[in-house]
Amino acid sequence: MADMVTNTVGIMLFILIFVSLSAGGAVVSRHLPRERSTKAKAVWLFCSHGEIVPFDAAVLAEQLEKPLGVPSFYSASQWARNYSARRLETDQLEIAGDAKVEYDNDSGQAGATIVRNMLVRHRPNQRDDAAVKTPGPDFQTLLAERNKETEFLFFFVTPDSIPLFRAARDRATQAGFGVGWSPLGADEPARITLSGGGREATIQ
Amino acid sequence: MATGNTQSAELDHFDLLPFIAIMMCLLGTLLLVTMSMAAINIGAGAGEGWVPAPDPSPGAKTPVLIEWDGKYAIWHSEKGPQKLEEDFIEFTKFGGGWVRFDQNGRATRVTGPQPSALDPLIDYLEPRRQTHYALFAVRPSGFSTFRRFASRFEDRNIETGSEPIDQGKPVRLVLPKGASR
Repeated sequence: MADMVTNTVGIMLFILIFVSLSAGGAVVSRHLPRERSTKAKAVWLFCSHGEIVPFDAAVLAEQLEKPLGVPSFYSASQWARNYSARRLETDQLEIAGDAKVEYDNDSGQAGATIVRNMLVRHRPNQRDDAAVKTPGPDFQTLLAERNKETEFLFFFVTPDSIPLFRAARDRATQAGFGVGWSPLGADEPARITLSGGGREATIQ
Repeated sequence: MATGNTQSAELDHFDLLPFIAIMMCLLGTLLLVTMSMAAINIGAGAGEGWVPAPDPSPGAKTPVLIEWDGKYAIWHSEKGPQKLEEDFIEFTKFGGGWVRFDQNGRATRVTGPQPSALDPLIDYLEPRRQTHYALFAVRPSGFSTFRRFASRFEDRNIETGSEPIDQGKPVRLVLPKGASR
């Protein structure tokens, strides 16, 4: 009798699990992303090779431009060439300048606009591990140091770090931060427009 | 007399061993089926069903799910999934005529724009931009071209949103009953 009861309960449990999995699928209830503008300041982060690397675009841009001086109308082309040749390296990032000059004669007066971009590439090192799926304590420290009222986090995400990005985004959202992201191809640099006119970073 | 005793003993003893064996086979089969279903549902081939969290804001819009893999856009429409090929060819008005930009950005003058496979999707979303937005499920193979693809919609003032998803993982949108796609 005990055998029969045990067997019957076991079979019922199996059937229950079977039906639950079949009917439920893997439905995920989530806030679905929708891009929105924000007045908050972006905190840039590279999420690739299993690592989250924050960087300050304003500081890096200043370092790129500082040795070149101030451009004039006559030196704009040379300045843009020099800017495009500039390279910087940090422990984890490679930064390159990219500039071109757009001339304007429409208003009767000759004018030139230098369109400046900064290309940021994450340099993997030996301890990088694309299998990392949760952000480390450094990310928690970053969240504690930043101001969620005036800043938001913007991630550049490569295909090898999708689970890491999702985990980091969840933590940032729980901490009250707005979050935006942009996908990058493997080893593709992030392009940040410094002179306006580019696509603005948004939260989702 | 001895023969009669043996028959009586056989009648009294009911051998359960064959039934236990059948029961074990049945349990084994059920276990196999259950584990297979579990593997399909939550393992490598698992899909995701996205259920929008309630949005009480007055500007709430209905998402239209579009998968992007770098070459094809799969539009989850009311008629079912529609696979549309993106050729990255764009047409722009210039100097009273039209200019055609190919995949590499090379421009050639043409008499007028030609239809694109994405037109039905954009034609669906454009008049509904106040109530709907394009929700992209971006696969790793589509990461490098995604911004260019999304600009097709952004240029028409269609709002967008994007979410990464694993390369082979099926995705579907589970909208509340009564919501239109």
